[in-house]
Amino acid sequence: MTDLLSIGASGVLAYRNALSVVGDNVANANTPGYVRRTLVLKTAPAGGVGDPLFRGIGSGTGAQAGTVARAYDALRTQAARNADSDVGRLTTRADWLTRVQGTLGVGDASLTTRVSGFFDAARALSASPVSPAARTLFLDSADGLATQFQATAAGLKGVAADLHSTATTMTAQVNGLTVTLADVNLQLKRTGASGEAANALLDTRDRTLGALSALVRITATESVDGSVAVRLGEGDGGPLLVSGTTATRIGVQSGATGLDLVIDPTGAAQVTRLPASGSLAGLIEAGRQLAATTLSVDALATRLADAVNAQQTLGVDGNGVDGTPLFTTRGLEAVSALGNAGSATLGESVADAAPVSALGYVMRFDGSAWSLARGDGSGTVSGAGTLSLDGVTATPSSGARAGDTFTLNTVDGAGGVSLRRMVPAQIAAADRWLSDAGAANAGTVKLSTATDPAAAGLPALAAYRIDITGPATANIVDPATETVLSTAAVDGSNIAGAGFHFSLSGTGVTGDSFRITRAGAGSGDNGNIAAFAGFRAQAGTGGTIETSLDGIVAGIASTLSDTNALAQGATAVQADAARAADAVSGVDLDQQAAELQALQAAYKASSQVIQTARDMFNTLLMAVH
Amino acid sequence: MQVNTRATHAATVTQMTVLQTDIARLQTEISTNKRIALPSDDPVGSARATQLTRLLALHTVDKANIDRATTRLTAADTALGGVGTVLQRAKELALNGATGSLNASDRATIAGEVQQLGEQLLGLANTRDSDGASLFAGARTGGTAYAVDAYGATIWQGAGSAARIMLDSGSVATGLDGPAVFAGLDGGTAPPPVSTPIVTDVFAVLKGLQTALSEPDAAVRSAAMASALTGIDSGIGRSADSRATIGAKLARLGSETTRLDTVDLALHDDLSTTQDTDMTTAIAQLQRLTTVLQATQLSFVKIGSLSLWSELR
Repeated sequence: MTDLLSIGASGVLAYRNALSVVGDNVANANTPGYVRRTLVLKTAPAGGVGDPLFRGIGSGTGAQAGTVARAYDALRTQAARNADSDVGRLTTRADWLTRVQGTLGVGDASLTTRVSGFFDAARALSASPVSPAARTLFLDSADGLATQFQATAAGLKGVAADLHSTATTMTAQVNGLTVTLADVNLQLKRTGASGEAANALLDTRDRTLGALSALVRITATESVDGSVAVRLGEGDGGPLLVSGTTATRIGVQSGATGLDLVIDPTGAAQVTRLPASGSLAGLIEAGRQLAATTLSVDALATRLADAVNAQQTLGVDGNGVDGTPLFTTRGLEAVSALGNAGSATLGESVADAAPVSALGYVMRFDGSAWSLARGDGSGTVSGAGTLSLDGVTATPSSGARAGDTFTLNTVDGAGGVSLRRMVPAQIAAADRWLSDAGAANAGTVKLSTATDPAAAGLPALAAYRIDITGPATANIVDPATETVLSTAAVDGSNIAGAGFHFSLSGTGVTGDSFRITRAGAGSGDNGNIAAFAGFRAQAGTGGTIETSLDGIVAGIASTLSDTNALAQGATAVQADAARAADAVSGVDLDQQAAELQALQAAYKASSQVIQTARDMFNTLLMAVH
Repeated sequence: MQVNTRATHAATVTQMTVLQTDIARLQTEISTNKRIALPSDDPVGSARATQLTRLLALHTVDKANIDRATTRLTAADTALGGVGTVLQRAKELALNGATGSLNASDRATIAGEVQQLGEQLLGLANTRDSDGASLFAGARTGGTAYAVDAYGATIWQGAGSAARIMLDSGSVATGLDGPAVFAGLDGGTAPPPVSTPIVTDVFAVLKGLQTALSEPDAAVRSAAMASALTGIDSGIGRSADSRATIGAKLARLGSETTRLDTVDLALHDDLSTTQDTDMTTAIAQLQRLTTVLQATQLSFVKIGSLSLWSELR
């Protein structure tokens, strides 16, 4: 009877344990990372020899609660983690590429539209070269273009800064997680791999691995004691992030093509290959595309501005003056040094057409006076406040302390392009030199002239006349004095004038004449602006300006569209993998309810066994009475 | 197999979110009538749309340019019509003046009218377009095309040649230059300060006619009148030729406009198929998606309410 009592008691105990496990499961049904526990019941070990006061050999010895096991499938969990990594990489890349794409603008506010609008305005101006309205529109569109270039550069810079700080945050998260894992490893060594304490640790471990693999692709290798070794990337070749109780930090640094991932940044820093997936990988990939885009946009801006400026300087503006560049191509940006103790700020301005040094400038305060020098220390000027060098004026505010330093960094490329302060009449739409043929010319000679600032073969005059003196000879005459300045051959060769060169081709007839005249104020010629409008169709690196820009936009768009498509696929895979892993490890409430019912019934029955044993015992005692 | 309650919930919610996103996207497509909101929605289509939009904008500029050139050329044509009339009248007067029966005072009257014609001709040669740019001054459109110098000779003040507008197929000059219209005629006389070469423009011809009419010597007069007549005939021919040249240019601009209009129609069509929403498909798809979403929501509520726990008492 005592054995029945103890059998009943063992059942009650076992089922109570099992019920508490079910309760635990139900309570944690919504806890992320919780792995369903199962209590395996087993028969108690057989007792000793038969004895009145002990269990008989013939009878069973009751039930016993085994260890609480975690319903964990390492392979499926790993698959789910990898799927998380893939989704993390693709969605992060898509998010950031969307921002990069946004900087180039959409519709009317896009760089594409502005560039085309600028060329269109040039073409419109070429049809009405003297119209003030067309000139104003051209200047407006040039201003719009420069502003859009600056906005794009600022946008790209902003995204790059955000991306860098996000990458830093992500690596900090990774480092936090690897430290947690190292800690878990240490505690697992103490608790061993089983038991409720170990189970909670293993939950933490899996949750941490899950969070880590969303950030970077990892390969986790489990030891018998439940501790894990974590490698970065796929396979056994990657650098160890967690080994036993040590965690290795990672970091990011700016490299040639964007950000680089670095192992142990504060120790033996070493650039490592980008892991195949994870949010951080996606982020760095987007960062590389961003860096490439920035380079291309800068190159494009420089190419366009240089072409416009070069063409402008070849022509004559509405006032009859030689054209000057339309755009400034270099700006300055004041950066205060990290160690500045004072509260002073620096304002800077650049004079029109100032020869700004490519090295930038440095402004320093020595406690009593400021000094401004070029980046290489040359050309120092000093004084109490506002200082000027190379047309660059630096104005410090008060509050500086000795040793405070400001750097004026040059901004080239898209960010440095700005429209010079100009009036519409300053647009050089006309060719500098006009040529025409005498009305009574009988020969086939054709005269073509081109601006050539370096040419100095003739004295500088406002007009020249070319008199044909034979089939292949001509005189260059000063029409004001009728003196022959020089002779020229009619053979198509370039003849240097003063600021221009010309050529004569065909067969001459004596008496024919040509004139070369400098264009004056209000010239209705459109040669120069037409030449610029023609630049639109000129192919350079990557095609014309517009096709290069289309290429930049399409490059981002197709990567982004690809990434979106891949992300959709990866999300579906992730859902499947998560479901497969959860099918093993997750909590099904209905199943738990059923189990609870069953266990509760068994518990009641075991109690009933104890009751019966007591009744039997009582009966026996009564009989003995 | 067991079904994980949390995962099942999460999966269904994700599914509904995806559906909601799709519906929102379709809604935007329908309301904006644009299939492509961002280049990444369809990189190829978007690149194509960019090119088409660019071409359409360029054609708008080209059409405005053609309009402007047309205005200028039409003004030149009108002026040349006037030149023709003036020269016709000068020819009548020359023929009339050549008649032997006229006396000196009759000829002086005629000479007076010839002078008037000369001034009228100068006015026509200095015609400006609506922007105030001289029509016949070549590239020097700011000033007048012809001016009378100290010796009474009418000299071309222009330089270079008229601006050319760019078309897809080459370029077209937006005017004729003075010398091509008024100078280089047959006959004519040397201008007063005798220098090379002999100027043979309509102004000199009329001046010559005027001088001839006041010439007392009949033989000299008749030779000078004959030379003037040759010059006038040549001038009439030149102005007719110039009008024909302008007519040809106008015809070219006209056909270019027609071509651009036709091309633009095709481009608009192409642009529409590239970037516009296909309404029928979009609305049908929206209908389908909303139905699916409703069904998902209903089944989610139904299945969610099914729980063994609610049966436990």
